[in-house]
Amino acid sequence: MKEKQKKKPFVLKSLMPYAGRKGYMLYMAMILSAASGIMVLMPMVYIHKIVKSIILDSSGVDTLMIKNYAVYAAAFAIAGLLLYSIALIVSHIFAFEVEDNIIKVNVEKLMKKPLGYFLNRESGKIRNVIVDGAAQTHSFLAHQLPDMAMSVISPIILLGLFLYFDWRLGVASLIPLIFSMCLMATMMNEEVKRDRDKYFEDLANLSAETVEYVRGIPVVKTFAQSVESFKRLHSLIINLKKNVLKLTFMYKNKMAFYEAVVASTAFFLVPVALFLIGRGEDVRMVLGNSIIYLLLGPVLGMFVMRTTTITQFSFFAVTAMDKIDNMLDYEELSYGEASEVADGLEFKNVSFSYKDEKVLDNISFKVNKGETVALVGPSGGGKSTIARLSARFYDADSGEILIGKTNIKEYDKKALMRKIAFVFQGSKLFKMSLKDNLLLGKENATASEIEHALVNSGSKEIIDNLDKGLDTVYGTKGTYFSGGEVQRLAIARAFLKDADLLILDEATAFADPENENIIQTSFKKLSENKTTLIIAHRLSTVVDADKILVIDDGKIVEEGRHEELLEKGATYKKLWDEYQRAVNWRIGGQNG
Amino acid sequence: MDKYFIKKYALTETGAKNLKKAIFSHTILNLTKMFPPIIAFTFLFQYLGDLEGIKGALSLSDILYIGVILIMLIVMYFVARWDYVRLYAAVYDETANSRIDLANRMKKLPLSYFGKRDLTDLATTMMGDITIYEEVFSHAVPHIYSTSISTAIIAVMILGYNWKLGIAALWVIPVSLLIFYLSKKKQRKTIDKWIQASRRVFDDLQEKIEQIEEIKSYNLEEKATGGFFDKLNRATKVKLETEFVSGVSIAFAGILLKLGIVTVAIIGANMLIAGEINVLVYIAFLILTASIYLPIENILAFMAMINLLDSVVTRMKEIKTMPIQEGKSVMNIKNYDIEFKDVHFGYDDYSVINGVSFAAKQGEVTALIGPSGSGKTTLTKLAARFWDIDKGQILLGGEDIGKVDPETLLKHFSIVFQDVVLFNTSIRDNIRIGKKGATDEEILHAAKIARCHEFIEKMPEGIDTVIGENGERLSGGERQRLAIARAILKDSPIILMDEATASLDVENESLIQEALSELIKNKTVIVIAHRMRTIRNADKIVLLNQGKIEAMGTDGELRASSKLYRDMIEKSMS
Repeated sequence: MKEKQKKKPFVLKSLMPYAGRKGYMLYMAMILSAASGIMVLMPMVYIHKIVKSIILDSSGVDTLMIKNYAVYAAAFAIAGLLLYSIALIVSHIFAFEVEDNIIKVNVEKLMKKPLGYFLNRESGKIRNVIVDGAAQTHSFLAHQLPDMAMSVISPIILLGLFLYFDWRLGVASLIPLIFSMCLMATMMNEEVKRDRDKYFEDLANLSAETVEYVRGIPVVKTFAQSVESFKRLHSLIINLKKNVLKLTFMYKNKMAFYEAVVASTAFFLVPVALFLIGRGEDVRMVLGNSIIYLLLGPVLGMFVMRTTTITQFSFFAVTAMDKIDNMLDYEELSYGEASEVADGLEFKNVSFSYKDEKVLDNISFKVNKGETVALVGPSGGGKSTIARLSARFYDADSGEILIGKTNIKEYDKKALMRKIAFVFQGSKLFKMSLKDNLLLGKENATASEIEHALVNSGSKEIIDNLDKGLDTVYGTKGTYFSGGEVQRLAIARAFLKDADLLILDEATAFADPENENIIQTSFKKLSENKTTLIIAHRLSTVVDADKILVIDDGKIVEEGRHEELLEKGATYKKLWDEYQRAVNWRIGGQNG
Repeated sequence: MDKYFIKKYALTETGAKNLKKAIFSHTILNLTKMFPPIIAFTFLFQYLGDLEGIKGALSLSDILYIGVILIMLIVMYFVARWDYVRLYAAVYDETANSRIDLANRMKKLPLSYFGKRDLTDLATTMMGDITIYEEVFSHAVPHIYSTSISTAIIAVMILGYNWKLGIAALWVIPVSLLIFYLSKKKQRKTIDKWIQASRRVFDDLQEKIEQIEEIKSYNLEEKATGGFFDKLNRATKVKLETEFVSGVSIAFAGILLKLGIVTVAIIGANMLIAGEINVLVYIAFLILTASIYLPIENILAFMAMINLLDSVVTRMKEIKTMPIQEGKSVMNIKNYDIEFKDVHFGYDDYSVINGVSFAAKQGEVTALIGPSGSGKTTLTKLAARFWDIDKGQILLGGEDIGKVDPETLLKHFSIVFQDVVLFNTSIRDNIRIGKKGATDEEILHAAKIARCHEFIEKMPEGIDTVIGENGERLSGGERQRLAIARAILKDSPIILMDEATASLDVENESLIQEALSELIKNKTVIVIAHRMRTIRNADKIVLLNQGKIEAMGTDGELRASSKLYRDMIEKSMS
């Protein structure tokens, strides 16, 4: 039992910390709501008073008194509604505060995750889990909790009223309520919970299958097989319907009984009243008291109905919060204090695994100050992981990565990032002017420095072709930049950053095959006099490297200069021959 | 009526019919809920009538009361059960139908839509949205309509019974509904603002996540979160405003309803003194005021709920208005020449192709070349009707492709671009997609020609290895060769390809090149070329610049005639 509680703590306990200093607002909303619950009962009491005075008082009708009672009745009703509105406004302010803070706290957490965290996660999914998850708490906090306060307080008062006038009639009119509560209780058992979980699981499956379906449409369409893939989704949808209908129809008898009974106070009250009259009790008293019960009975049923949805919504809130926590359950990096970042890069016996699969196995190499070291080898061999470890996307499992003589973990985050520039595939620009984008590299860059960076990165012609030049705002309508153009601008930004340690991925060039040469040239210029680690794909670029590391299967299989490796006639030689063959390919003609 | 529902709630046709049925049975259920008050009034009238000496009241024995009550209970139970089954059967039918309808529509969208990630996003949200639909349609919509109908019936009965007191009790209902209706316009505006603000929050966060490498690399964490928090705070303000407006209008309409009690009590008392009504009528109306407004309040609350549904309906309508492509399913083709005739095409806000005319002949390789952004890829995709063109004509063997069903048209095409879609099944099944009912020999043959056997042999279970979601267990080049195997199996007369596909896997580039060369033998080939050297042997080179044809001819002809062509060659050599 204790364990179970640990697993699913009371929802509020996990939500209240997010409310900050506005926590009191929830209690305020609940108190206001409870008060309004009492107010809305009062009109019934006054109407009853009017009716009773007419029935019991034979001296004629007192219009003044009736008028007063009627005004009181309306006044209480209005006051009750006003209080409820205020309660809802307060609870909404509270709920939005919680919602916002959930997003804020978790986005801050997210921003602290190492870059490696983001590599295999879809941005859209992360976004949805956080923002939608926070929204899932809204209904529970803004509506359900205040309603619950009302639903608890009002029935207690009602119960008092029920027993106060004539307990025998009161008990009779409570029967529908007792019936419906028993029905509700039998409907909330473990089996139902299981079925409900199954339903949500089915929905999740459907959503996954939809993604697969939509993603596959182009293929199945081009191969004239759209019927098949459609059939699969179709049968999933039909099955979901069948299951949910089965689940729903399981309750048809109980729900029908509930519907028939819940507001039928009269059916139980009238026979008892008849019995009391038959026993010779004062008819006027019996009738007078009956009326109050007829007025109040249906109201009580309404309150009971309201409490039934609360468990459902708290369940939504808990699952959503769990999802957020699960997603963000990933270790953050710890940083040191060192701010004087030295030159040179060294891997000492570095191993790294991803999802239990060894990606790097005891790698050691050194890039001296001002040298360029190229990584070549088949995809999946571990090149990218080496590059990412050097930019501290994550930490190695064992071994040491040194910048200068200091472990990369000892550096202060900002100092480290100032020192390193990396240009990988899919660089991004921010939605601001191109000039501001470039200035991120160097805040106070002069016009001539910018010009220099543009020329060296081959971006000059991109800017020259724009009406507004550097003042063009990236991402606005009507401006379009190809992937390759974005890459070139990102390289210009890296030029301005003028970092000492460069980590480059040559695949960047493939985003823009027409301009492959431009990007390769600019990489060469960028790495002049810098400590550079470059992932090479086109072997033409590595010819001049100070050192080439051939990486395969997580290990360094060969290392040396271009000529040395060719002479050796092993792996690198094979790659080189392959490259030569590929370069001479022609489409059509005698080949085609 | 059906059309109204279909339009208003983006329902399917059966959905509209079912909704009508549900409203009908719900109305009946509402009317059976009058049974308890009827018993109550009969009882009160009978005994009060005796006391006050009023004649004409019904007089029943105790046994009869109990009998009638039992019958009523049974009737209510069966009506409720009937309604429950009908309602939920209709609701889940409709959600299933909407989902199927949606899936059907997606299938007919132009191929160009599928490059975008947000389409998948849209599809999943939609499938989820339909769940919200479920909630609203099982509760709000049938409730609103049936309660309106049953309340109207009861109102007519009340007015018929005593019109003066009837008006005293009922006047508040139209007035408060009117107030609610008027405020709805204002609400709609704020809800639009809400949706926009939420979308901004969504987009901004996604953007930040996508830019995370830049953010960290340039130490912009605080600035980035700060900017996002600003957007979030602004959105929250809008949301609060929305809640406030809708809350206030519901509260105001609700408060108005309560005034009915006062008018009935006062007017009734005066009428009682004047002798216009007897005590029974007066009491009956007083009791009525305690319960008659409750359903109306529920309607108001449900209406607010439906307001929130508006955004869901809007998204639904959005997808229903996306242009779907249809056409005839039989083609009368003379040959496999593709001819572009003065083709114009543009995306939303800028034109890409500005009057292009050329022919790609059967059995020839036609290469499209030009600076990035010149329209090569777009033009190639237009040939397979990824989009419909704005002006001009594209003919396949003399047939206008704009009039042909895409699926029929695509039977003649193999498309080998960079983005390969693979499924989470075996390599064998992934290749088999190329040709329905292909034999194992045919598949193996295609795999061999496409140079797939190298990597297939290395897989643990060979060709029966399951390759994971979207083929995640394969490298870029392996995916590419698998796609070529599919195309070889399909053996269609026209090939559209992107030369860049070959360079996805540098280690095996020449293998992919060999496979491509096999694929295009004796076909109509249109190739998007990036490297000048690759296309030197093409039968026809079309040099594009800014959506127009700059020059056309063989390599030799272009070297002689076009300066741009010579420039490009020079650049590629450097």
